[in-house]
Amino acid sequence: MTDQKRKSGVAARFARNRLAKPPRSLCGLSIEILGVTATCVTLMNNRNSTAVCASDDRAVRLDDLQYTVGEGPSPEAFAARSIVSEPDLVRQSPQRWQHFTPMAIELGMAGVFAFPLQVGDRCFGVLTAYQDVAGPLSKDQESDGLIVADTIARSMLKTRPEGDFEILAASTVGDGAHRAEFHQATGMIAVQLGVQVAEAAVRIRAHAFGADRQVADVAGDIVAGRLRLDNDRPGREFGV
Amino acid sequence: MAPTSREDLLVSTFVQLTKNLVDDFDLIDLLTGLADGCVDLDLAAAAGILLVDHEEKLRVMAASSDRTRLLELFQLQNDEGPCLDAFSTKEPVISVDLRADKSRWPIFAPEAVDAGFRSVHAIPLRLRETVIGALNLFGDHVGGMPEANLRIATALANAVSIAILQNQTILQSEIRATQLQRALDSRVAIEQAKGMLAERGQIDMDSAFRHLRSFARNTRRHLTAVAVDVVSGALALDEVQAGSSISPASLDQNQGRSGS
Repeated sequence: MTDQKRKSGVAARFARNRLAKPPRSLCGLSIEILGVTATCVTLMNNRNSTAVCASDDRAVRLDDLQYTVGEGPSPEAFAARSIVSEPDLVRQSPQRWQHFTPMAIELGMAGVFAFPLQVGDRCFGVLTAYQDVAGPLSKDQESDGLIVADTIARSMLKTRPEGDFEILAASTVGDGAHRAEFHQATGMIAVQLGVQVAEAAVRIRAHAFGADRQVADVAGDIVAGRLRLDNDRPGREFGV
Repeated sequence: MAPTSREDLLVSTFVQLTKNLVDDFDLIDLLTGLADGCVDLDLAAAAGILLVDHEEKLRVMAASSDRTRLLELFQLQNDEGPCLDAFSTKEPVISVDLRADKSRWPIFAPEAVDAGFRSVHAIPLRLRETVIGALNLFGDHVGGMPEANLRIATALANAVSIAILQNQTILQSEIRATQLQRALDSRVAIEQAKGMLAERGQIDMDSAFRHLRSFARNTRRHLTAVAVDVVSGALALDEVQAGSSISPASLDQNQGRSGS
């Protein structure tokens, strides 16, 4: 099939699903088209990100993790504005994503592929696709991935200006409260330690990795008042 | 002009115009390139371009010479002329003898003749139903443009129209992407500000949010703007609590955090 034909085919499938605004089925549909295990669409800027939709809870957890630790295929594709592929997570260099890879494997993922969402030369998000078997995407899958990413990008930009919060509200896929809790905890730690929020976020991550715990759990403890970081020793900082 | 050099010229004009699409888009460059290209290709003695602005008013955007620019302005000032007609009818407007068309454009035709022109071809700049302006081609002798030349001029006008409309679409999408990305930051700032207020006042997140919202209402500011100021430190936490209409007593009673 020619690229042009593929493109109109994909566009038609999305149109049939009436993509006036990005519904949760966006990810379900992209799984079907790409033939992958799970997908997540993430809205991003240089400081923050949020999942706009995800096919399942695993994709949400991996998206959350990438945001809180600041590493992984999605932020990498965003920064590079190009496809990031890791067809075999088990065999990849452990240095590449030291926090993302173990959790992805634990959740049953074997390969990951991230496509930037772009308009003009501006990148504003990423479509991340997961595979439960190792191996590269076929040429067709890769070109479909680019088309699906482009179609999703267009549909996100079509939303009415007053609909910003519709899109952001959709980010409560899975347990979106996790992400809010992390930001709340960040604000609390900023006050506890008398530091800027950016540093407070780093301190929370540092604590989580020092204690070998999930960032989300640590944030939950902070918000519940069960944990304070006043006594944390600096020096175990996780990369800024 | 020898056929090969004419062909070369045509190719280089198209290359110049499309270069604008792949490199940095510059509207004036593009339109000046179109006007100059038409003259260089011997399609006309002079060329001028009118483009509609965001208020739906036509403006002179480019001209191959000053006298052409003045003539285009003259059309706008008097609200009469072939360029305006081409824009409103969405069809090419042709006068093969301006001296014979005085009844058609009583003000414009004599002015154009005075400026040394004898004929005019006005081509709408359009993509399907959207018309964004018109290209005026002035001739210094009586007679219609050869069919081949008219086709070249129309092709150039079409290429430029598509370039301009495409660029507008990209610009609009980029603005939209920026809005989405900003909304992302607002949401984060609100949660962080809640956390800061909660920690300072030893209150729960709901109460912190009510303080934030009440302060924003009392000061007639957007919630997001207040949250951003709280997070950056531009707005003191105590000021937010003092400036909200929620009394600490009511929080102690109903919402206060009991410690753990």
